Amino acid sequence: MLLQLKNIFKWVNSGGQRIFLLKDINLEVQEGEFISVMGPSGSGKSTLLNVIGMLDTFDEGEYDFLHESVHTLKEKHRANLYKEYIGFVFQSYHLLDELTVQENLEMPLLYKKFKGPERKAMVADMLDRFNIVGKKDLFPAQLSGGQQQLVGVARALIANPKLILADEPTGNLNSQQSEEIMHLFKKLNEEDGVTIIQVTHSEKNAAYGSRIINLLDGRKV
Amino acid sequence: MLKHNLKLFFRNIKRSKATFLINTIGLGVGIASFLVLSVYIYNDLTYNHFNENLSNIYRVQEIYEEGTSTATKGLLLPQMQQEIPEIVNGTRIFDWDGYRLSHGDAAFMENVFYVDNGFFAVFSFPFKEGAAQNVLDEKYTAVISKAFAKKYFGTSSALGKQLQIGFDNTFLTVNGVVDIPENSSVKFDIVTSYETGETISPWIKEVHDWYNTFSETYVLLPEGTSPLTIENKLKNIVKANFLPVGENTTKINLLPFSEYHAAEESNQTLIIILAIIALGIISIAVVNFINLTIVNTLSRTREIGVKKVHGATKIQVIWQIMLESSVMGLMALLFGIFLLSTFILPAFNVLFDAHLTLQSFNPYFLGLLLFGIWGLVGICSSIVPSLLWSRSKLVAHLQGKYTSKSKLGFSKHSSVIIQFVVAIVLISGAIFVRKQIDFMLDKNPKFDSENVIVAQTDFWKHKDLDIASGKLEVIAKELAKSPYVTSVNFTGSIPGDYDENYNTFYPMGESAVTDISLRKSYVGKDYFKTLGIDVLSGHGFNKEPTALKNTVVLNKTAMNQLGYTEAGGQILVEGREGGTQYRVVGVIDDFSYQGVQSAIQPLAHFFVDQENLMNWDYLTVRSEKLATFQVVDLIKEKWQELFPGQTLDYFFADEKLNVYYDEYKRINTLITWFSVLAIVLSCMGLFALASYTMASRTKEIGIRKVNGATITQILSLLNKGFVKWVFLAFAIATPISWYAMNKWLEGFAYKTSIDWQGFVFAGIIVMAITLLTVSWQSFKAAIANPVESLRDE
Repeated sequence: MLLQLKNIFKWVNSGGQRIFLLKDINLEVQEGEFISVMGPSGSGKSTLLNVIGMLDTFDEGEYDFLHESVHTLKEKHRANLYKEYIGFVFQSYHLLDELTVQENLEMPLLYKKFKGPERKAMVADMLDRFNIVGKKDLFPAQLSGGQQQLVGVARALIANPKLILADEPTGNLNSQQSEEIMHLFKKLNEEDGVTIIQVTHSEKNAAYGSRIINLLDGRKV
Repeated sequence: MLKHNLKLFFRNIKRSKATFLINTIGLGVGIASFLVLSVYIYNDLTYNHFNENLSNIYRVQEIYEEGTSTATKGLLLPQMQQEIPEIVNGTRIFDWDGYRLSHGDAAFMENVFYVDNGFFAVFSFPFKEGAAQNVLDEKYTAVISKAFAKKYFGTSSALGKQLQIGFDNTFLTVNGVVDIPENSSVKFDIVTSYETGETISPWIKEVHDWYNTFSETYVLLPEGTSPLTIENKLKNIVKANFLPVGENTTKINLLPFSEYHAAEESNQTLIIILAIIALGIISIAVVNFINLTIVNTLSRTREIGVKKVHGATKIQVIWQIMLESSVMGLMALLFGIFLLSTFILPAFNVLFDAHLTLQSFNPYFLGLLLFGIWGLVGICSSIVPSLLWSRSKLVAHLQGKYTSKSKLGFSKHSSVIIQFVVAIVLISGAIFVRKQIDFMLDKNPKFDSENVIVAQTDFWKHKDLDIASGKLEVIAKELAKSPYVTSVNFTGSIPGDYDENYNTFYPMGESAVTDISLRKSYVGKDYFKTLGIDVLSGHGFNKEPTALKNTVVLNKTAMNQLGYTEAGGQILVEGREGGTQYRVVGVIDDFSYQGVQSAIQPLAHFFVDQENLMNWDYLTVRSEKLATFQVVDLIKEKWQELFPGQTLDYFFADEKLNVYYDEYKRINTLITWFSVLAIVLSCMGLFALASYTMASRTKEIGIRKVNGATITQILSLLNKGFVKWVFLAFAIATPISWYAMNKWLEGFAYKTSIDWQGFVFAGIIVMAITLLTVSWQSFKAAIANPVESLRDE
């Protein structure tokens, strides 16, 4: 088992009232799963993803990740945990504008203390695998949306994470680009055994996953 | 990692060139201006510090009932050295003699100082050639300054070279060359011993008595000896020697030489003003730099979020930001030093006629200062974003958001208010200084400042003075014949060049005072007529020379002090009982003979009938109205005719007088520069703040526009906030400026009024510039398509 959420609650207080963002969420994710989280706007999809990715905290409940109790960990340890095991893909790609494709890919490795030659090899490997060697010296602004997201996925994968979290990865893409990214996810999941959790609005994209979780008003339905 | 960070840094610069340039140039200019003022202030505060014995050197002052004088009686020092064994060493300086010195073709009129043998032991002038030890012991030896050596001998060694005195067969031999530090109170071109001086000019022996005060006196006391311990001995010397013996009430005071510059020479108000300007400018520049850097850094919150998600730790992020701001700070620092040494310092030196360099600073002090500024901007501009980021959530970073806007807002606004205050104070200061200068220049000088031409006789250039005098007489006569010329005169004094020559006079008969100190000057026939000075009663020396023996013309101030109403042959006795008697034959108006910042003194003009016209310093010629240029041409022509090969040095009568205002013109230029600088720097800060404010209100503006607000309404909404700050700054700045200007004007005998227009004008300038700067940004924000600004959500 990769991770387990038990009775997770998250709320904010507004005007003397408690508004629940997540309400009693229970979820088990096995290694190698491809999960799609669906639900209308404001249903808590992104919040759930951020909680799983440890970018956001929760107020009640338990969260185990690879047998570590995340809710008892200090922030620093939590950070180390997600840095090692989780890769993120964002709707708006979040590539660094001032870095080339190659440098964007290298950036996470710098913070994970890989040595220079090792970094080079890993970046070259990733460029090769995603078929973007020819674009390695271009800046994000010189790429199409689909290509940017391709780089975003490659960057999420570069340090060999166990889990990829993707928040509407195709939200800014046209249908053809979306399809390509979803195919890529499917392939990564099936051939390389990467666990993927994606948030999506689209039934069609959700169908690529092995399991669908539906949320409504912070509650699993 | 360092490479990665630097790469990112430089690419960021490339992307936001404007911000980077504003930032670096702003701080660089700020640092350069701060340093130039610091050098000046440092130079002033370390005046005379090169003297190894500084703390034990004292300047002897004589305190009379009428005031304190740093000129002392000529026989005082030898007497002190004889009677007071505590005095280790001492020297007099006699600076009243001058003559032509020449070496080969180089010939100039020189002011030659006579000093005692202790001179180079009391003061530690660094010798470039020769050495201090016994340097003036031999008669007819001299020590010269570096500039003097260059003037006469160029680049070749001056040691052993000879300087001819006048056209005689006597020579001074150069025995040493000193490099006199810029900040030395004692400066000279050439010094020789008293013994030599007394041989060259025997008259100086006569003025070294127990009455005349022609010399400066310095003494050296042993380490740890207070001047109080010799007070009684000094009293005894006064009692036994000063005239009239036994009754003289003069007190001798030893002024520590370390305090001399601040007490007597330096304009302390100016130093304080400059120090305040320096601090104001550097704080504006530093605060702007920090603000701009913070705003710029915060705009990259998303980047930091992305990095954190991909494994960057808090420390790594802080390092990255700190690296960036310190590299930027370093660039600004280097730019500032470059600017300083290539433009600002040379310009400042020209303006203030100084020779300051960065080397004038103690290197440790300079290093500490620069390092301090660098550290401050580096740390401050990275700490604030780091703190803000650590308080907000990573998820928020990815959306480009950060918290605590309100707190940051206050510090920003207060910094802008301070900048406005500095700008308004400086602008109104510049306005009032200018007003005072114009006021002084516009004051009726009460002599003809337009039609009087003054020619220097340059007597020292002539070997045979009798022949030269004859030629001068011909020139004067020919000029007098010209229809363009009203009057011609020879004189020793002209406005702007009256000697510091005072004596006490005792009126005989009825008068308001028992004695009066008069400033003396010697003039020839028709001086007042030629200068256009009104004679109020009696006559202005236009009688036959024989009738003018022992007569004096007083100015109105002198008459008022004496209680005389008009010239009527009243008798004034000079110096002491039985001294020469002078008849008051005329009264002249209080014309300006020195800068009107000083009160008019009681003046006495004496008539002299010189046998040799070359004994006069000036030939003055008054032309008919509108004929001055014809007269100038005429003088030139005659001069060329009779003194072929000699250039004529001439000027208009008010030129020397206007030299008195040069210092104020400099101050005005300086303040004007710095007010412009303060405005430019505040604009930069304002620009940054405005763009920050607009960015944070984009959504609000969008919503207002969607709901029907017009561009004008939005503009006034956005500008209103800034206008408020200008008003607040104006309220703070006006009293400060008013107080400072009042303090400054205290130093003037004749001063302008401080009116409200000056302040309002300064306020309007700042307001106008503020509105322009802010509107630039707010207009952009106001015309933006609301669809764009609202789409983000």
